[in-house]
Amino acid sequence: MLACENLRVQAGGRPLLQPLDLGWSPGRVQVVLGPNGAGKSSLLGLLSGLSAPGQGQVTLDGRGLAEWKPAALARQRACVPQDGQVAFDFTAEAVVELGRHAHRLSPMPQQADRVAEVMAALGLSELRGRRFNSLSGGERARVHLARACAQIWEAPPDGGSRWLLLDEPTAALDLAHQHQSLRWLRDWSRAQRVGVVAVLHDLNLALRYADEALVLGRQVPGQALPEGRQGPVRELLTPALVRQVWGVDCQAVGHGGVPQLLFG
Amino acid sequence: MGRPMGRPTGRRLTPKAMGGLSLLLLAMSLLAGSGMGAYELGAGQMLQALWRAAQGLAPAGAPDLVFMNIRLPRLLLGALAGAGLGLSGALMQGLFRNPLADPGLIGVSSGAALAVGLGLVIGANLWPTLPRTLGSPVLVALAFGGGLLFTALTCLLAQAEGGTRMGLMLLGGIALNALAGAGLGLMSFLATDEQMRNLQFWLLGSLGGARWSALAWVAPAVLLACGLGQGLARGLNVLALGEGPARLAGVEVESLKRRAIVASALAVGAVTACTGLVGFVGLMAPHGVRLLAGPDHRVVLPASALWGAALVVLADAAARMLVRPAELPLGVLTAFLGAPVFLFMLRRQRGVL
Repeated sequence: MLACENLRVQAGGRPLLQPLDLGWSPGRVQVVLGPNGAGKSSLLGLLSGLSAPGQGQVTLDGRGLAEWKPAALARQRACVPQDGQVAFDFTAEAVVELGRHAHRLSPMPQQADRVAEVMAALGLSELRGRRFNSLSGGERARVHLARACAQIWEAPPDGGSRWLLLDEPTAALDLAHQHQSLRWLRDWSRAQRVGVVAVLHDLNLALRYADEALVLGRQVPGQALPEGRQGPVRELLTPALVRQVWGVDCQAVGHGGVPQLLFG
Repeated sequence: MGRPMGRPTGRRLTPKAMGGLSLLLLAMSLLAGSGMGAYELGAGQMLQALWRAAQGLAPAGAPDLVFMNIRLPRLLLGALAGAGLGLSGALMQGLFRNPLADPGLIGVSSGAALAVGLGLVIGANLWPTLPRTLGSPVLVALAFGGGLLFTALTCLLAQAEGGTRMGLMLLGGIALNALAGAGLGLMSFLATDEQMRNLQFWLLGSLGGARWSALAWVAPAVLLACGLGQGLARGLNVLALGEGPARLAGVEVESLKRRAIVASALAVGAVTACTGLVGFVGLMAPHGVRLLAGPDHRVVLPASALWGAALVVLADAAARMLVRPAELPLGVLTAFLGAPVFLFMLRRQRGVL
């Protein structure tokens, strides 16, 4: 269980109107939606423990993030940042192996197996020996995703929950890989009981692949906008809410049993 | 960094092959360096000298004396100095995530040099024996402290939101080097004629001060730094992702940075206290190693130490041979070799600085 209690999120230097009290459960894909400047990336930074909250706290399995040892936390929570530069000329395989740092006390052959396993699962086996800095933007994003998955590949022996936090995972990907990656993440999160929390901009991808959504609204003075609405994505994302939060008109259509939004 | 370098899937040496090659390189440089010099020694004479020393016999004749008291300590000091500088360069580059970080450029060496300069001139008034024993424990400790202080300052200066910035680091290094230069200039001004000669000779970088007593302090310091550094290799690999992502991958970044600075300052401090300013070894050795074996610090750190050792031993042999029977200052020679390498690397990195 990943939760935040009375958490004050800064969005563009200003705090959101209300502190957030939210919880996420493992085994599902949960997206964070909202316009630019709503505080999505800030929230993700707080959930990962990279930034410390000014008010409130984030807990993982009931313990505040500050109480976790870095390596133990890393075995249960992995993140993919938006901008994934790698200094020096590592191969793609070596970059994925960096995700195994928190498992470095396990035997070496097992580490190599894990890296190969993760790369095969994500369809990256052909890139193994390639230099990371010679890859395309989309390939780099997928290698970073594999690195993060490698970090939390095994369930912890004490039964703790695992979390994958993604900041716009589809931004650098082409159409086919957007769907492929999100479909894989959804299946993996269900099969492995990993909680995926992803900041996403494409509402139709969210409707297709996510289970739940959290909608953060821009702070508009004088307007009572409910902040931090959480719920099943297909119930939450109505044309009315889209107009309220993004100010864009759209209509909902069913497509093969999946609701999609038509804009314009 | 920002753009592809070299072939996308070029072959790299395995760690074992790289280790073997590096050891071979060092062995060959030691062999070459041992015979060369104002007093030429044959292999037979050197083996005899070693054999007699191993049996506990006193040196007999000039070849024995030259080899055991001058040439051998000088070779070993050169190897240790190069190892310390190569290791320190590789550590600093890992820490700053940039191959341009050199202990000479970012202030480690000049901090150590300023501390030693203060010791040689001001300290000499308090302890009159100090200037005659380069590499003495007091000077090693002073150099370590000075190197540590200046490295920590550079790190603070280079720190910006979201990690360290290369431009800030290089500019900070320039400022600190200028400060140390001013301090050393002031020391020259205050120094007596004899202190002045000591200071100038030492500043240019030389292995001329090699004595067994100095080795006794430098060797443990450099070896300890190598040991400390090796323990940081995996963490430095992950740090290539950036400080935030490394923290998220379970690395205790602040502790890693502190340890890397201490190990680097220890190696450079001990070396600088004995040999003065020998620049660019920490830049050239790791660069060559990465070209052949890739960027994994588990290989880069020890191999950079070995390549640095070979480089300094060879450079010192050249310094002795080129203007025989006089000798060129070692630091002058390494700067002539290293500055063009640095400029070449700078040119290749122009897109990301």
